[in-house]
Amino acid sequence: MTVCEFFGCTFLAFGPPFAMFIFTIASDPVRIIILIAAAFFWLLSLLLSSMLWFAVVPLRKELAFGLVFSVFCQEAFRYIIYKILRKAENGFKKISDDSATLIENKHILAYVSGLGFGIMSGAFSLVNVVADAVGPGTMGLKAGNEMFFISSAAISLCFILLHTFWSVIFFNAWDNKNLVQVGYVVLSHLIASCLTLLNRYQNYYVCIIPLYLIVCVTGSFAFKVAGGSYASFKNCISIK
Amino acid sequence: MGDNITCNICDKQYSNVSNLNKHVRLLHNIEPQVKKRCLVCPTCMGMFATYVDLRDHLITTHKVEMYKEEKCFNNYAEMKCAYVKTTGNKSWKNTEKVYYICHRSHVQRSYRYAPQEEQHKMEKSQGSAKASVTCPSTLDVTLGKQQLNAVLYFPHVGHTCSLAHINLTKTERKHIAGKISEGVSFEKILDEIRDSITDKTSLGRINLLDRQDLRNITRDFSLKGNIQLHQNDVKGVFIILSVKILQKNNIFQIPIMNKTIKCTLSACIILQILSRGHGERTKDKMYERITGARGCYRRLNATHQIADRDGSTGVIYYAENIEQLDFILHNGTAPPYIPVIPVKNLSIDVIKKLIDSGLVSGLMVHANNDSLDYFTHDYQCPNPLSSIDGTCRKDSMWNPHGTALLFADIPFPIFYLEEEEEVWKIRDCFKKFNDFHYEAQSDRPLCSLELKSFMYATIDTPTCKRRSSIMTNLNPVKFCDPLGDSNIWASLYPLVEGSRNETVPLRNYKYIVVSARMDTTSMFEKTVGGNSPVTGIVTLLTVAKYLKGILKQEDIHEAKLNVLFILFNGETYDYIGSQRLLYDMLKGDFPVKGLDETNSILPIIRPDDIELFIELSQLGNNRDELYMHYLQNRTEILNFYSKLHNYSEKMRDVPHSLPPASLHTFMKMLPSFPGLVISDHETSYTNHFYNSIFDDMHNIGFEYYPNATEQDIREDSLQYFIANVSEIVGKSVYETITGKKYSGKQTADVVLVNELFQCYLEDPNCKVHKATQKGKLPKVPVSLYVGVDHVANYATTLTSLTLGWLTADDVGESDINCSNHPRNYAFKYYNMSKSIQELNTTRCYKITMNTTDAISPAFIIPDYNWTSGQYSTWTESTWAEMNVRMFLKPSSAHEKMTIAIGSLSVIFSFIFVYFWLLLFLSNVGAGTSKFVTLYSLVPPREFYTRAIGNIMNDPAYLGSGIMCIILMMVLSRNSDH
Repeated sequence: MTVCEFFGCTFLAFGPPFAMFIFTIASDPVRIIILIAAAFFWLLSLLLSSMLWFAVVPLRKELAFGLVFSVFCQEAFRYIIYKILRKAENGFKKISDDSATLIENKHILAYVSGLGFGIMSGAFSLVNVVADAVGPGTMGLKAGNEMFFISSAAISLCFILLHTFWSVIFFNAWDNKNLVQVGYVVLSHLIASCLTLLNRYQNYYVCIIPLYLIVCVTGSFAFKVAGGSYASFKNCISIK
Repeated sequence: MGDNITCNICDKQYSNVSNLNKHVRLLHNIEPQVKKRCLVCPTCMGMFATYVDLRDHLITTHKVEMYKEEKCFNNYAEMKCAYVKTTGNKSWKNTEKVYYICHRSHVQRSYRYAPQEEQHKMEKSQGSAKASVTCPSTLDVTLGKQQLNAVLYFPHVGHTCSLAHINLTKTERKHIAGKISEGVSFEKILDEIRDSITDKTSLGRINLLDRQDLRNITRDFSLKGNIQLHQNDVKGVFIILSVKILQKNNIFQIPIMNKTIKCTLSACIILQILSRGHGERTKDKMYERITGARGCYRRLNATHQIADRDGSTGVIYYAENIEQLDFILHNGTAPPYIPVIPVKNLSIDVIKKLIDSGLVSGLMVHANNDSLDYFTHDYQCPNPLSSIDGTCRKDSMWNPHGTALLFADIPFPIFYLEEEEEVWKIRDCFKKFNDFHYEAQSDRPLCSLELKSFMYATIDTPTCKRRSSIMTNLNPVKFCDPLGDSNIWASLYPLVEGSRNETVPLRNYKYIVVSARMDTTSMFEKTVGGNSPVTGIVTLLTVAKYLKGILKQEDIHEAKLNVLFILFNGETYDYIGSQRLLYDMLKGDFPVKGLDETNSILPIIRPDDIELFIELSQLGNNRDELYMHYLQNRTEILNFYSKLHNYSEKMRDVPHSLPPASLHTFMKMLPSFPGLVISDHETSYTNHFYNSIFDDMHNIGFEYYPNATEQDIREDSLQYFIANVSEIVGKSVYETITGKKYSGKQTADVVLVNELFQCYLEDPNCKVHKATQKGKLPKVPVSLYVGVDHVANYATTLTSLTLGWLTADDVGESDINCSNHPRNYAFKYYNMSKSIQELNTTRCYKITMNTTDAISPAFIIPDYNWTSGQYSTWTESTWAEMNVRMFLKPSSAHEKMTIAIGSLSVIFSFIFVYFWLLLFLSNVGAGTSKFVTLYSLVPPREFYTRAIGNIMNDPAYLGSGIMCIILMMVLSRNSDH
């Protein structure tokens, strides 16, 4: 009855993004549109990077090559959607009910498009794994161990959150022409992706713990970028 | 080649004959005398000697534009075009060339048979691919060191591009055959191949593979006797439709290119790599296919279903003996289990124990080197329902070791595994994951097996037939097929006389029938049948050959007594073959259906015409004595016994006794039927492996002597024994017919016996089969399981040809006139080898052999009363796929942990996101801070009230909510197990 594993993994990876979607996005049609558009742009980046992977025949077996290129490709497309959203702001004004907040608060667009990026990448990294989790068996007969499915789900969740944070930082960085922040996004994306290469040695904690550290760091960075501070954080937690 | 090749008319010299011929033809307008081949122009039926001429002619006369294309390939396999080779490789100027022609092309060997205009045959939609004309498209290949350079000529002329005539290549067929034999289901093979279509250019015949192809391959490679016909194949229909569209656009012709493509070796390599697919799924790492496991089919009769149930999964328990098995049945904490036990432990007690324990979901039986005393899972009284009462008594049963497991309804699947490597694989996995801490097994992942053999049919034959019937079901799916095949019969001398086209039946003849059974069965998919039925078949065939040698046609005519040889099929399952034959005989439908008494084709043979019925039963397990069983003291039988006894002291008679045999069918219906059975057992089988996988060559002590002559074979061998039995029976039959003792010196052919046993027990590519037919067969014994009615058994076809050959009349040189045209219903004409020593000398043979249906009358008679028990009602369930795979089953603790983590993640994130936003709303407040991001993310409260209102009001929302809750409950229940 590994249907349990199937649902467990799906819930773990897509529960938090689902909650975020319900509470922060579902109410506004424009946000849904932006989310879908971002997801589409992530798909385009996947298409491009897989084309390159396919074309460069000698390096096809080298996972690292495709991975590095894919990271750059995703960041390029993040830049493209940034440019497009900034260009489309006037249009949003006309169609959105509360256009004021959407335009005034530039982080909303970043957050929504980041979540779209994340959900799509999470779906693509997890769906084929989870599909095999349904069958009667689990990993460990020939390779891997029992923790394979749940750690895959945890890693997927990690990347969904990271994409959201990265977009917030990235959009803000381009608004302020802050190249250091852009560099941070690209670099942390690279490091996080390369960490997953360690999965093949079947010691999943080696990969998961640093990944969640990166999530924490990037999350607080995004929090700061969006205007939060330690004081405001303490303020909102402590006072009832 | 020193001679001058000179034109007789003008003394001009030529380097070779063809140039001379061309010169004679063109210059002197004389057709040269000698011609090797003749190419027929598809448009005007003009004849040409070479392809160059033909193409020139097409270009100049018919204005056909011919193209030439050069290509290079790395190996032959890449040239998967439909071209065939007609001559050997030609060496010329240090290079080797091979010429291929279009496989639709027809090349006449000489002018004599060249078609006339009016004989021009239409292109056929099926059957021979050859059009009656020559297609100018050819493929000339130059063999280089690294690659093959090919020159293709286009287009095809004289035939359309029809799907029916594109064949699979040999390698493709081999590849597919391999898959089928591995047990990959048809659906899967088709899916894989259809999925492999990537672009238009790579579309080949292989991509158009359909079930018929697979069935053909299964038949040609003799892989298994049963094929499941499936109901829905939407994907297949879609493919066919799309192919039809593509066909219109003629993409099957290789695209014509005007410019010459030069390609280097490296370019070829890149293309090759590009076309290779990548991608390993997680699944591939999780499952290990166990090949060579043989399941068992479900069979049904009028009242019961037998054999095992549908597929299931369970934890492996590798038990070396009964004690270990008992241990797990008492101490197992992680049921269900699938015990893996050695074959000697398969007994009725063990099966009962497993069923009673309730902990077992399947059973895997593996072969090992233990020697067995007995292993038979038929009834103790085989065929109890259709035998004559009182022939099998409690105190002396024919098959005393029989467990009747074969006919038991076991609630779990049983598989038999022969390959040692696969057994090791399972044992290693068991040792690594399962074989320790049995009390805590449920807390860790366990090595498990999945046995898949889903059987569609249930309950019994009437139910299954009703469910498959169009009358009762609007969408009938075939759930079961009747067991059945063909009976084979042949007469020693023809049943007719007269010249070829004016034969008249020989009426008022009596017949001596020599019969044997054709089939066996076993618990699993594999059958061997050493003693039963192979000894009987071989003896019958040897008797046929011997009688043909000693009896003259005049003797037959004088006595008005002919000999009929009959091999009954399906006898293991309530005498299907003999029941049907008797049914046909009583209706006057034997040998041919629907003829009246006065017909001019064949005499009608009725049971009354049978003077004596001799059945050859199992003969291989007892060399000291042979027994002749009979029920009634009729003079014919007693006379025959005295003759047998005269020839051999070893012959004993057993009156008032009848072992399981086809004779039961006849004597049940006609109590005074003059029949006897010759066997190696008196009161119970000497064969302790009756109808099992161990009734093999070792059981009967057969040892093959390759290329043996009579002197090479040991006197005390099985071969000599069977030859002697055949001789005794043959001489007795001779004496019965002629009324005098055989005085000649001829003996039964022991070399033939040697070869015949080899044919059935080891390698079907034996000399006898090579003499009678040209097919290549895999080197495994052909299955002797009767199979289902709509699939012809290979064994039956081969045996019928052998029987035909051994009773045939040599009618002259072998040539193309040796065919059934004009048709004569009494004979078949075949070109066959002269003898097993002279395989390459072929003669034309006139054969009296024919087959009749061996399908139970129960399926023929309309509104048959299924409960009457009169006829055999066995059917075999259809099945989707049969395979076994090994995998790691997760522990329930781990499963619970996974779902708990997942659920917690969902709940926490909902709470966290919602309250995080609320906190900011209340604490920070709108506008008081720069920090407005999260505030503005919160949707208005009305959104939620509206959503909840919707859910409560709309039954669809409410329903889906309840479904979710139920799903969660089911899941949590399941995870407890």
